[in-house]
Amino acid sequence: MPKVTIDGREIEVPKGTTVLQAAEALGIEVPQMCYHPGLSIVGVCRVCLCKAKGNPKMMPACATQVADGMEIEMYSPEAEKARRAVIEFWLLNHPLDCPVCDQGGECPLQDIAFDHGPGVSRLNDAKVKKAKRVDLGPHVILDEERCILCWRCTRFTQEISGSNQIMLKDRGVYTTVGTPPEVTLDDPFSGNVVDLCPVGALTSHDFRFKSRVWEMSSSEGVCTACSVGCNTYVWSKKHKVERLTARPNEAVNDYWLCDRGRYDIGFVNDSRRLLRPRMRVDGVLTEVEWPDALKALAAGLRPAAGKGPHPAGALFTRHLANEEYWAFQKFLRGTLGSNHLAAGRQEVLTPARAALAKSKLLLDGVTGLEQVDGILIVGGDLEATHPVLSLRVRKAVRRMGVKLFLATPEVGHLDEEATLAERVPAGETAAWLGTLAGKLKAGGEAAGLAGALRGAGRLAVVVNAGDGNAAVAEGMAAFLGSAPDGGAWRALFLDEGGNVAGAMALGVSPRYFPGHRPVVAEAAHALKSRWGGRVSGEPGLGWDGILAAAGRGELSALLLVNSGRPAGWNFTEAEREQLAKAPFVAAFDLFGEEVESFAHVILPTPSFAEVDATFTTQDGLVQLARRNIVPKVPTSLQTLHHVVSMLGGKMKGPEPIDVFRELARDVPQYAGLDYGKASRAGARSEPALVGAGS
Amino acid sequence: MANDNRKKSLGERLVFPELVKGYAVTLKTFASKPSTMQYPEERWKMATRYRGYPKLVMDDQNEAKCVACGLCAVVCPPNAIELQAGETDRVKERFPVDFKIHMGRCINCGYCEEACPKAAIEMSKMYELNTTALDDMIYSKEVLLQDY
Repeated sequence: MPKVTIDGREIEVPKGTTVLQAAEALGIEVPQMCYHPGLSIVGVCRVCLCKAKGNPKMMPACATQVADGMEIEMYSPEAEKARRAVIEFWLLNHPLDCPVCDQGGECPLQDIAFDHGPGVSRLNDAKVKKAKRVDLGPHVILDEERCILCWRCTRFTQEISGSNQIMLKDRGVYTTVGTPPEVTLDDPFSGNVVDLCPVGALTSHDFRFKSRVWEMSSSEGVCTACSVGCNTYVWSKKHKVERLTARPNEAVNDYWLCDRGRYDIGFVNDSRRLLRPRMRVDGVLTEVEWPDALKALAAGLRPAAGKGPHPAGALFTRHLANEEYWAFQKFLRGTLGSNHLAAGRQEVLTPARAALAKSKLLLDGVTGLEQVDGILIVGGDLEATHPVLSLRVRKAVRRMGVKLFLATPEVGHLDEEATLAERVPAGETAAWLGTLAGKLKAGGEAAGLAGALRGAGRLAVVVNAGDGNAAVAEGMAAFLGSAPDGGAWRALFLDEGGNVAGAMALGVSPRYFPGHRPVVAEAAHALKSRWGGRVSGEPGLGWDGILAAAGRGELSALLLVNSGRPAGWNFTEAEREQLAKAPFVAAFDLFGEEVESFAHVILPTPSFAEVDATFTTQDGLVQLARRNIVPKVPTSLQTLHHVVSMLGGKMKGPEPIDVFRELARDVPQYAGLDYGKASRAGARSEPALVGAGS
Repeated sequence: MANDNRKKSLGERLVFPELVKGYAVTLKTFASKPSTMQYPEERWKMATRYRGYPKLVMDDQNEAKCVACGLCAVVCPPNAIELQAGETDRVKERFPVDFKIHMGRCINCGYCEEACPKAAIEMSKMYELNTTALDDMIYSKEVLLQDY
């Protein structure tokens, strides 16, 4: 390994390390502008110039690889002089409108000019005038004057998102970035260029002029718009969430967020949010005080809690926190003795999925996509459903040379990267996989995908069939088993919903107890001895069954549980009719608009920014999202805690950390985890969630 | 000298000469200008560098010069300034939608004037806050732009 000396300090680094990385390893600050760890290296900003002994010219530290015996001067007078000159060039045509500029306060140009710049301007002439407000697309607006041409945005659309929607135009001091003619920046990741822009040239419509950086407080959040679980920073000012930015985490989202997750924050500050409980008084939904609503809820649940003839049921959305899933399913099972729980129309945890999880045939983390030889995506377009994961697939293809095979219904953006793409209609994925497995088994010469897969080596099968995932899972073990030469083929299932893996592992399922344990009498007995109360060993009803039973009056109470973000129940007309006939419907919701036609009690729940909560990604990473603003309403756990004690039961909590402690003790998928481990980069339990059965 | 029990001399015991001395002082200043002032009809003319309460400065289009950068608010020691920025079509792009100073909190330190990159806030000569309601001390943008 080469040894280098930087400013008199010696370090030994692996071959291929750049001078910049070596200096940072030594703790030497290197001013940098165009360098970004997630992008390629171009060395255009020239501010990291350093001097290598024996070399007559200055070299950019970011683009210079170390060699053995190199002696680098990062802070010699010569290097500092060169840097000062570079900064002077930057500032020649930069408008210096820091008081107006949104980047002010988090601007590397400000910092670097202050730390390393000349301090005074020698410019006598007028600065070049450029356009101040250029709409690049639905989210991004460009100020051409502020741009210092670091190429970060152009590199992002070329290398990461692949849309090529930003380019450089014109030459010399008139160079600007911008979209190609007749192109708008509308790729689903456009918000990232605002994060990337080191100056205030690219700003987002959503956040423009709303707040200064120092007025806001930020905290670590986790996006629950899909199952990827991207890490975010949540920024708020005066208890209003102003923006989300990406929080780097190489195991999840690298440095990126999609626009869907980034800009979907309006509901947090929405004035239509439910702030007080609503209850049916004489048939009319009216705002009531909390004690009245809690009393009504307890009264509605009491028949089910007692030995009444009809049990209770509960429907959940798929983006609740682990703590909420755990507490509510324990309440339903232990206190109300019911297994009628469902998270989403389609039951995700089927025997085939549970068996796959146990068989260790699942991909161990999404970073595994970069370590295989081929990726086969079956089902829907990744960029539409799990956008940030499609960035990882593109990275695997472009940087690691992984071969991509697609079996999707329609042409998507990833088709450009694919070695082979086949069109498979949405409902036929499972059957198509079966045929493919047959072809692979049959041997002999095979054309098309079968032939390509035969030489694929290690393959990762990404299953993104939505509701069809269950059917695909049936044949998945057989398909993975058809790998030629016993190649290690692994599957990664993507489901709809922000915390669907948590719902599965924590037993929000009619047929499975927490920890993927099937609902049978023995397991129920074991849980009863641990939880007390009454746990039923009879499998419960799924989504459709629960709604049908509620419509027939066979459920004494129905809970609709949602928190964190708008529910999106999307009940059909028939389902609404069934719900209207139910004897008692209580809904936990942010808005309650969807349920107000039939609910008897609606209890407000906080948004994602208002509570501590953990979420589980599709690949089993448990991540903690921190509370950022003061909750406008009590958390669902607090409400539940009240109701449980009113019904004479006991519940851990209501603080989420206590609930998590309990579930970490009881559920093997979360064994050994705590909030400390789940914070920052997230944590995988040992044994990892994938592969951890009962 | 309350406990001064010393025997006093005759000169000290005579009151009359002291009275005369007092009247002499009165007579001396009788004809000169009075040093008090008939406030509120009469007012002090403040020194150029006097710091009263802050006010916002108008530009030539009769709008606040302020670009709502928030530096005054962040530098204000008693946290008396609150503002919300917004976007305008004018050249300056950014303007204060709302700008409030709680004069009851203001300590007349003048940091806001010093921090302002646009010379849009300055210390006026105004020092009177007499009011019957505390809320009247929160000056809105419109009030701050008035001449006082």
